[in-house]
Order: sequence, then C-alpha cells, then structure tokens
Amino acid sequence: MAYRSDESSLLIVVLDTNPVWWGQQLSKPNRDLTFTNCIEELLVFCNSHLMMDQRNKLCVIAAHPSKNKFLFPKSELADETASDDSEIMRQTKSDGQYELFAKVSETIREEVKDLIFSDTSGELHADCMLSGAMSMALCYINRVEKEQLNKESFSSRILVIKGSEDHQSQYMNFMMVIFTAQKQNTIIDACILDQESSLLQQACDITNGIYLKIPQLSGLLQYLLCVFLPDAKIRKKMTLPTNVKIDYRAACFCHRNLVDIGYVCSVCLSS
Amino acid sequence: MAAFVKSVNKKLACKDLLAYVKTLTPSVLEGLYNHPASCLAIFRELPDFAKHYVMRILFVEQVMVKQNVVATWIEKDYANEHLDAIKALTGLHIVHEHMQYCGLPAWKLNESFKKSLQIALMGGGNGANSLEMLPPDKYAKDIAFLDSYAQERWECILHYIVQSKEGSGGISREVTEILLHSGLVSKDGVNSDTFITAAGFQFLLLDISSQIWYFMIRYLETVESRGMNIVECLTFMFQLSFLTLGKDYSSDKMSDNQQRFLQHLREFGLVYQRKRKCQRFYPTRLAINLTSSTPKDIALETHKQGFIMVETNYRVYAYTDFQIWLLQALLEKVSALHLLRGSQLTRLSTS
Repeated sequence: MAYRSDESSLLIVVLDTNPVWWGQQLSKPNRDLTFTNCIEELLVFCNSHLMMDQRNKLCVIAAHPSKNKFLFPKSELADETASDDSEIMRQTKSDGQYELFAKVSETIREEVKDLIFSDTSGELHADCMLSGAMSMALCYINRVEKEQLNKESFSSRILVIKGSEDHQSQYMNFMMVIFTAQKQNTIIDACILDQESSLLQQACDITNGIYLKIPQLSGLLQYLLCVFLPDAKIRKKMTLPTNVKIDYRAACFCHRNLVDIGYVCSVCLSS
Repeated sequence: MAAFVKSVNKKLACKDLLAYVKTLTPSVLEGLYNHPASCLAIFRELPDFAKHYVMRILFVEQVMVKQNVVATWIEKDYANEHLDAIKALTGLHIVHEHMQYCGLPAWKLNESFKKSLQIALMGGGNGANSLEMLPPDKYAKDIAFLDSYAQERWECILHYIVQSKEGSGGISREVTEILLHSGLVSKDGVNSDTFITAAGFQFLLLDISSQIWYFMIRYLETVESRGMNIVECLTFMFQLSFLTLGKDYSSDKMSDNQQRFLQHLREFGLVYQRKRKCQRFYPTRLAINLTSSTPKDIALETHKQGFIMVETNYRVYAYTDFQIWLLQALLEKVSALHLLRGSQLTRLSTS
C-alpha cells in the first residue's frame, strides 16, 4: 500500500526584504546570512516544495517597506515583456535542472532585482508592510481556489520569513488577516531570523502553524526543509517544534501600545 | 461457465512506476540514478515519509544518519508508515545500510542519486544528457495540432486492437509484437490475423493515460530482446515526461538506441517529428507527465458529445460522429450513416 497523500498544496512565501535590516546583516562580523544567500536558499526550498508533488503550487511575495510585490508568478502587468520571456526560455541553460525549477529561479531573481532597483525613494523604515503582503497572499489563495477546474481539494499555507521588527501600527490589520486565515483554513508559519514577533506568534498559534526562531542562520535551508516543508496532513505524523509561550496582550486602538488590562467598547469592541 | 467467469474476474494488472522500477536490477538502477530526470521521476512516486527523509538528508554533509535518529522524526503511532517508507527506499537502493563505528546501524543516501537530485533541483550539471533548444522552427506546430496528431496515432493502435481483420494499416510489426506480448490480442495460428482478447476489452475500458502507461510498460519489457539499452530508453522516457508541451527540442545528442526509441514513440503518438531525418521533435500531451501516477487531465477526449440508445430488441444506436472502439468490438455493425451508427448485440458478436 502506498502512503501518498491525495491533496496538492499551495505554498505562499512572504519574504521580508527590508533593506535596513539586510544591510545591517552585511556589516555583522560573521556574516551568517546575506540577502543573496537567503534568496538562493529560498529558491532551493521553493523548488523542493514543487518537487514533492506534481500538482503543488507556489507563490512568492516580497514585503518591502514601501510596497509589496509578487515575485512569482510574475504579475500580469508585465505582459508587454512576454516576447522577451520566450527568448529567455529559448536560451535556457541545459544543465539538467528541471525546466519548471529553472523558470521559477530565473523569474524570482529578475523580479527581486527589479524591486530593489526601483526603490529610489531613499526613505528608511525599520519594518515592512507585512499585513499588506499577507492580505495579498490570502487574496491569491482565494483566486486559486476559484480557478480550480476539477474541484480537487488543496491545502494552503503561508510561510513568513521575517528579520525586521514589528510595528504596532499594523496590529489591527494583522489581526484581521489572522482571523481570515483561520476561517479559510490557511496555516500561517513563521520563520524568524532575528527579533521575536508577538504578532506572528499569535498568528501561528491561532492557525496551527509553526513558529520558529532560527538558532543558526547559516543553516537556514536545512531548517526550512526539515520544519517547514511538510504540509498539513504530514505534520500531524511528524515530530516538529511546538509553540512557545505567547504574548497575547492586545494593542490599544488609539496609541497602538500593548496593554495588559484595557476597556472594551460594548458597541464596536474597540479597546 | 466457471472457466468463463474465472477469466472475466482476472483484472488487468498494471504496475505503477515504483513497482516497475523495483523489478529492475541494481546495475540498471545505478545507471538510471546518474540522470537527474530519472531521480526526479522516481522521487515523486515515493511514499510521503520517504520523500521527507530524503529531503532532510539531501544537503547534509555528514555521510550517514543513525537509524534510531530517523525513527524519532515521526510520531510513534505511524510506525507502519515509517517501515513502509524505509522498505521503499532500501528496495530501490536509494539508501544503503551501514554499520557505524559505534556499533549502531545507519542509513546512507546513494551518492549518484544524491548528486543527480541536487542537479535536478539547482542545476549545475554538465549538460551531457540534456536536450537542447534550437532556433525557432519555421514549421512550428501549435498545441492543437499536436493534440490531433497524438489522438490520430493512438486511435490507429486502438483500431488495430479492435478490428485487426481489416489488416494492419499504419501499424508496424513492432507494435503488433508488443500487443501480442501484452496479451491484448492473440493469434490462432502463425500466419493468421489477430483478434482481441478479454484483457484487450479491459484495456479499452481504461482511460487514455492508463492505456498509454500500460502499453509503455509492456514495451519496456521487450526492449532488451530488441537489442536496445534499457537504461538509455528509460532515461529518455523520464526526460520526455518532464518537457514542456508546445516546445520543440533537439534530438542531436541522442544515442542510436534513443533515436530508435524516438521513432517508436513517434508511432505511438507520444512525440511528433515532421520527418524522420528531422533534428527536432515535439512532445505531445500523452508524453507529458507520463510517469506520474497522479490523475492527469488529458483533454483529448473532452468536448465530444453524443447519445447512445440501447433498445430492448438488442439494437444499439450511437448518435455521434466519432468512433467508439468498445462498441465496435462488442457489436455487429448494421448501418453506418454520417451521424448515426446502428448495431446489433448478438451472442456471436460478444464471444
């Protein structure tokens, strides 16, 4: 009897591309993880996900301080360069890499370069638009679900790779994203590179995801493959890290400060 | 009567990819694991736990991982599934057992499998076995053409299975041999015509992707007897299943065995080549994802409408404009008009 799952899986990776945080990584003495290495390791992880099952799907979104961008699949507005795309495919290197993986890798690399070079505003922020990126992810999941022709069931999960710190101004939007994900049965996983994030801890707890702060950044790929690669069905059968104590304090609606005890309005439930 | 019932109850056994690969010898497997496409195809067919075990040790520099460490990776309730995964991996020689110095048994990933799977994931191979792209084809064919070509070729074969009395129009001797070997048709004497068997009927009932897969397995069983190299043929078949529909590829670097295999595939409708000497070929929808066992949507048989009426006087009328092979095999044709085929179900026609 072959123990194989019948479900396909949609993985959405939300990558924090905050230039301030990544720039600080370069200036660290041991340079555990540079942005380039992170992208390469992420590509291997994404291709591994596609390799697990022929029907698996992938989407990668970059969360930048000023905007969010779909790295893969390429946004449809870029269709005017479609003819260039076929030229690129014609010259695809024939080095044994499966064509789909080569396409994914090339597209993501091109789009990341495009994102970074187009950011000319010069403003520095310590955080990224995470709640916006996650809303885009949920919309994408909804769209894929509607587009499914043969009504096959598929599970979806969002993996957030984050290095920069949280900003309490995103608390409200983030909570709405979390509850929507819970309703949609979407799992939110968090791979934390630097600073702990109470928002993501809550998200992972509510949606049955995994929250992991990476102890050794140089081994990022191995952590991704061991912990975040299994999909929902397999996770129940494997021994994976469990969640830690979570900071469930709410943020006050007017000042966005975390409070232990607060007052809740009986009409609109704002605290 | 009992003998008849027994023969009907024997179902058409079709091995999936893993079952077929397990029948190969270790040397053939070792030859297969040198190619990224074969490793990728076999990896996708492994049980779930086996896939995760391989992924966890694929990039680890340390050569071996202890068996009791692997056992801690899963919850205790799923021990059966764990054993099944280990059995699949050892049966296919993907992992080998070693004794470490401390006396504890450990698993080691097959080196060629590891390297090839890494190449399939990340690239960096030497390109010796891959198919190149050529400059744009002035006789370029689109996907609709490839679909109709594939359908026409496959229907030729089905037509032969059903109505071989009409002669073997368009079918080569090799296809006849494969069909005889697989038991779908059989002969009375040496030089007489072939007729369909019970297995052949069940074959007609399968969906097209299962039919193609069954046929390819039977073909591969006869490869050695034709003097062709099984490793080269299998490698090419795996490569073919991962190509993109609608794109053309070069057949320049292929060996003689593979070129012969390509011509056979051309006859079955799995690839299209404009001329025999042409250096480029197009994979058709039947070839893409050939080796995977997940349900595929081969849209060759959709958009066909029609009605079939069965009357109590054993007359069957089919209001459609395409051939239904099963009906032709089972029924005696009475009339054939443009959109209507009338036939009769008799004792003679079903025997």
